[in-house]
Amino acid sequence: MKPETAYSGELAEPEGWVGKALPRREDDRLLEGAGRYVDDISLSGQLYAAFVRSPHAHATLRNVDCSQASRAAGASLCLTAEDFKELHEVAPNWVLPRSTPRGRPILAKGKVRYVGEPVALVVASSPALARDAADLVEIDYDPLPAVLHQDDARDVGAPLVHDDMESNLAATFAPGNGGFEEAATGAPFRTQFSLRNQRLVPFSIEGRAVNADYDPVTDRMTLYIGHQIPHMARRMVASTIGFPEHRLRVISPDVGGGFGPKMHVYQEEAVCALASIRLGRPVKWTERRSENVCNTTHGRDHAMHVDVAADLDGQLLAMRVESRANIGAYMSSMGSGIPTVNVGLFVMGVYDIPNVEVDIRCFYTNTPPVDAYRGAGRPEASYLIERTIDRVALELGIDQAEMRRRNFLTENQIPRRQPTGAMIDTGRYHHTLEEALKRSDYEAFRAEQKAARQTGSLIGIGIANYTESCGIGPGQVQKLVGFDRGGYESARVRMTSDGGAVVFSGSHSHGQGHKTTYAQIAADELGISPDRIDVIQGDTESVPQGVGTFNSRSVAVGGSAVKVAAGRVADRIHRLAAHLLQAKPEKLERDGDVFKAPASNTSVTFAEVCHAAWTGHNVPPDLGVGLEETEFYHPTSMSAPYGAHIAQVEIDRETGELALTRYVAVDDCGKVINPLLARGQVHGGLAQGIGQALWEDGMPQADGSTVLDTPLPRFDMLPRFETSHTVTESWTNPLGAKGLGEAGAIGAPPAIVNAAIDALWHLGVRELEMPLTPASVLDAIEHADAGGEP
Amino acid sequence: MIPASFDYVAPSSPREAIRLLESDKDAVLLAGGHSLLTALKQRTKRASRVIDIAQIGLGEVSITVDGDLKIEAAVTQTALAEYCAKVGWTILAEVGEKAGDPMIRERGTFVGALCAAEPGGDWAAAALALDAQLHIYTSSGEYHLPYAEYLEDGLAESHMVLGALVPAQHRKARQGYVKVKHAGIGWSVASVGFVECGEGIQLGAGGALSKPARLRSVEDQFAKIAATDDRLASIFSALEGLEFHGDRYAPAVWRRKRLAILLRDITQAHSFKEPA
Repeated sequence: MKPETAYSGELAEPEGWVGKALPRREDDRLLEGAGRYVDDISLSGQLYAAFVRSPHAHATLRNVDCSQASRAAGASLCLTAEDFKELHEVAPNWVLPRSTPRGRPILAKGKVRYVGEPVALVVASSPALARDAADLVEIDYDPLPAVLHQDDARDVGAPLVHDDMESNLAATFAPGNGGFEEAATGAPFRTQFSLRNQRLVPFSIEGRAVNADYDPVTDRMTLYIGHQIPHMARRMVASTIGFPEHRLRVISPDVGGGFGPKMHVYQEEAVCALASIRLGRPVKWTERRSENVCNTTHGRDHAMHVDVAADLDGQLLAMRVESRANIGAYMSSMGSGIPTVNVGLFVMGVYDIPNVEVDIRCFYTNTPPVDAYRGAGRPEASYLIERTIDRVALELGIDQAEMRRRNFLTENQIPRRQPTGAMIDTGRYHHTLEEALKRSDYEAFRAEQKAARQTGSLIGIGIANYTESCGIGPGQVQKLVGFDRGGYESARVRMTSDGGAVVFSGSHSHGQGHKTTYAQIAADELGISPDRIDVIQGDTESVPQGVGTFNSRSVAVGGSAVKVAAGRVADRIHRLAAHLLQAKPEKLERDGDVFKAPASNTSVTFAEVCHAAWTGHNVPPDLGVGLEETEFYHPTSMSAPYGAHIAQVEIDRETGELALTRYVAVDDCGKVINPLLARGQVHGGLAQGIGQALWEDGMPQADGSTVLDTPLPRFDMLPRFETSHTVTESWTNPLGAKGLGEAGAIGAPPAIVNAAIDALWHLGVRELEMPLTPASVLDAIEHADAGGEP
Repeated sequence: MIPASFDYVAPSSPREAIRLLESDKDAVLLAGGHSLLTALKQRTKRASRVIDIAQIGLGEVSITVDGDLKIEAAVTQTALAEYCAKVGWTILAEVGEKAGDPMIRERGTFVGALCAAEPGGDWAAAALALDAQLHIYTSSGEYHLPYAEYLEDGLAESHMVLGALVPAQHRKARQGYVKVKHAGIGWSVASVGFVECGEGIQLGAGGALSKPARLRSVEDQFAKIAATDDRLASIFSALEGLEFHGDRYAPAVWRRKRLAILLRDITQAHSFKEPA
């Protein structure tokens, strides 16, 4: 087969290591239970922390009494806000211009603003004693009226989450090119509807954990944190507690899932670090599941409204979007950017809409802070536009696939910056949709559906042509929107004298499989097997300054850094080999691990060249001693992966129970580094996207607490996924890669809800809210049966 | 998930267990532990002393000389299900396939599940349909108590349940267990254990109700319900007065309807004579 090329449209047999479906090199150790997570690390003199948390959504803190807790068996320290002369605050890292940031105090002072907010810390000699001592902290609360929903928070007279603000409005964002009213007024067709993108509680298998180890002798601190972005964690912890960054080391060992929430710094990391400084001993805290649901950031939580105009052929003319986002009690790390920039830019999806207006308002409420969760804004945008396409299609009586064909951006319009500001680097949307339609037997399903309706059976098919934006960068663009992080990624490739290589990467795998994919990328550049390449991440003292893993950026940006650095090393090896053989580099031939100079009939092995570089016995001045290169790869633009997902569902008319009978995903993430791992990424994302569509709901209960037993997708609840790829390489990076890790979570919710509404539209059902619980679906059917508006 | 401190004791006899239980009002008995330990770890329940009855023995399941099924307190759910798959009372084998997950069934006990009587549990519904009795041990003596009474009235005195007894009469009867599973936690959101009994049927329900219960009102009208055109309406009528519970995923109203549909399907699958 031909090697893949841009616009090849399909996966092809690879020539090198990139593209091969190598099994994950990290799995054996993890499967054998030999993973090393933060909680596995116990240090000499280890102490353990337990937090006392608010049971109230909103209350005045009258008094916090640590006297009994301090005297409890094994207790070393009890801290409250009163113990700090200056109360530190975990400040947001992405502050949208003109927003009103309110960071999290490291321990609540004066007021608590959500259930789960840390009020006091107890440190003891064992986790159990710490927990027991924490129970002895006496806190006098005076409950206050709370506001949990964004629509209540915007009301005049609503309880103020922050007394120093005039309202609960935290941020606004209004992209678009205007002109909606002119275009919509008099349009042949216009419709409006509301959507809810419900709050979700992210659940990693490993919760958050920190072990803070301050050494009073050296005045240095090591923080072991299960984290996605170790260098950023170092910076954020250092600035939060006022500790010099150059004396702070962050080690992030194995990380059991991140999904976004593990790229922030929370109160616990800061307080444990300060406790370690006070005690001169290591202090470890490992999150319990009940803490996970109330203090680790949540995701989504938008109430949206769409007003859309089209002509009678379904050509979209104008769209206006209003969204009210609930960002919780404080502005989390990326809390103002995710619900605004990451939603507003992408509400047009893959479509050509002449006039678009977006108005997003973010509100503080007495709920746990909301931030990035797999997809981070793009699922909300994708859900909105894909639901809109279906709504217009169904109201106009146009087939939903045909509706998309009529509104797609075409290849000659791309690259393109959408009126909302989203940059689209590649896009062959017709191609991907047709591939998904073929794989899902779309036409046959429609015939089957027609027949099923004759017997009263309810089956439906739903499409989602999502796009997103991955590989955040360049930094200059981030600065414009107030995102105080770099847009680059680092890689250092160092050869060893036996011909092996070590790749140090500033990104950090928390399940993605970088040890495999980065080795494949470097292997192709170096011309050696991935087995001879190790990948090191997660230690700020051994890895060059990096940005970290989020926004599906690791392959496109981090992988590109590896490719560039490894390519430069390979060039140096080639030139040194030529020097050793007294040949011109261009005359040198390579046969596996041997460099040959045909003219002199001499040769030198790859390992001998590496050895020569590190002894320095015979190296030319322009190469110097050593064999390593560092690259800070800084992309010029983000890439825009896309895909067509198709769900098929069957609904029991009597019970409302929905069966997801088939799921087809055709994704285009550009160059696929490892098809096996790519499939794994899609599967994981789909599981979480299906979870949002069908089961999960993290909206706090009336008392502000978060339910612990929200339904989560498990293997036995999911259909067999039918995944494939089209390949449209990105020009934004040397790999031609785009992100993929969040695709499933973005595509699945609209595909499934569209399928459910497709099954029920003829009954009069017009909208369904996620999650599609049997009760809510049945309620919609019964309201439609009764002739009411569901 | 760390429980508050407690003393752990492992008595070697029921007498010792009761003595320990009576000497400490905050003591609790530990069987398989799948209900108790979770509550202790979440600190929603506290105990000064945990009395582990695992050392007492009580690990046998057998058929008595009268043909009844005798299940001692430490018999695991897996062991019971495997036994019943061979000897009868097939409803218990069926519940064994549908209750919890393999890990829970491997450690959790049948009797422990009956005592805990979690609303979403599975075993209670089957036990109720089978007329199961509990073998109660107190400091003043031993006796058998119908499980339905145990659930309805409770027992005020300190006691230990040594086992359960399932009457022989239902061994070969047509029986089964139908369950609608909670998507999130695997508990039942509506389930029915049924046993045909002469010209009628015995029904135990779980999941939808606030606590498992025998559906006597439905049993009494079962043949009549089976004969009506609108069975669902008749079943709803028979369910009047029962207390239902729910959560965000499966609210009480929906569970009630789901239970009614399960009952209707059972009537459709069986034919019964109108009572005289």
